[in-house]
Amino acid sequence: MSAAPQFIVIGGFAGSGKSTLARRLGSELQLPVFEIDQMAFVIRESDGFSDSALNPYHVAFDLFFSLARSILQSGCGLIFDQNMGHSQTWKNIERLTEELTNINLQIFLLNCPFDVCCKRVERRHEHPNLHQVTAAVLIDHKYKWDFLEENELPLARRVDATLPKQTVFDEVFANIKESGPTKM
Amino acid sequence: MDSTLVVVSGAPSSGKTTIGKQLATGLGFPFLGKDSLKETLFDTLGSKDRDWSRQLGKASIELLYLFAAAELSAGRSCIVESNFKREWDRNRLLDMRNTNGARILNVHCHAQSEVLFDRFRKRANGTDRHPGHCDASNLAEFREALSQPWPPLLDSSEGLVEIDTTDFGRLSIGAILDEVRKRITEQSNGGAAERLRAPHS
Repeated sequence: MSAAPQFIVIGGFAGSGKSTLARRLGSELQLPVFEIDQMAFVIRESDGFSDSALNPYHVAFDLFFSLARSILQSGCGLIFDQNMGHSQTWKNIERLTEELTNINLQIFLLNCPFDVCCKRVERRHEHPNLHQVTAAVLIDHKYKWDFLEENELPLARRVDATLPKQTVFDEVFANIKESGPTKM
Repeated sequence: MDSTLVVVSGAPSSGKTTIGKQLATGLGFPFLGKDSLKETLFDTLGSKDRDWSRQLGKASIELLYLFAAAELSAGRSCIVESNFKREWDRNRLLDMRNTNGARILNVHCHAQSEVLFDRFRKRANGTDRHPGHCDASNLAEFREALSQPWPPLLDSSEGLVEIDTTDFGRLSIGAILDEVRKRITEQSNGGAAERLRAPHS
């Protein structure tokens, strides 16, 4: 526990394979994975929010950063699964790292062409899973994809998400291992 | 998996947060408290009335379960703290034990009801309490609630440590930590001990 706690961010557009990668890393590294989508879903479904005009995502963001601060302060690491397509998210992360100097922050962005993302999301939607995003909706969110493409984002390491899952995992995992000791 | 979920329960102002945070430091587990989530929601969404506080309280408990599940499914232990109700929360916690294969230990705080209400009133009128809780304007409701029994979530055969916080000054966190560690070890001796010794793949 003496090593700096790891704060691993897995970013990328919908369909880039964030959640698959984040969950696998979580089980390999024994770190909890926090997904904004899940948090927002719980907030939206809870009593009193169902008919509210509040955006549950805004609430989930604030909660996530408050929670992350307390988890990192207690010396424990975590994985954050988020598209990272908003400048505000980057600002929040920067603020957190200024405040907590003793953390090991690593940001990975899964780079994936827009049409590949759409195809993957379409395929995912055929499964009777809980995923609610359809490819048609993605067009409205293309500004996030643009943000990720157009900004340099020097804090992040970019990974080619069109490679096979195992290759993507191996590359990210090797990077995490290189960056310092992990609690195994 | 060999993770442990420590569930700190008890009536309002029974000392849950104080005890829970000290246990978290001592055990090296992350601490997840309902009130800090709820206060983040107050800061984001604004403070209104007691009804609103109750709604945000419900959302916070749902989030607490989500976070605990994230911790446990990563094989990591954690402490959750809230004024859990046996009739609502017992089965959900037992489900989490079954789903995630985690051990559960209930640390239950209790005190004489006059002591609880006295503490509650002082806290409500103090400056440290977030105004969003609307405690001070609802003292009668809490006086009634605190005079009722507030049972632990688990039975002692299932993993329970009860702490009487009536005289807070006389509590030894060291002794409580020893007891909690002992109970966690005892629970792991029911078959999980083999898994504990198994090397990580």
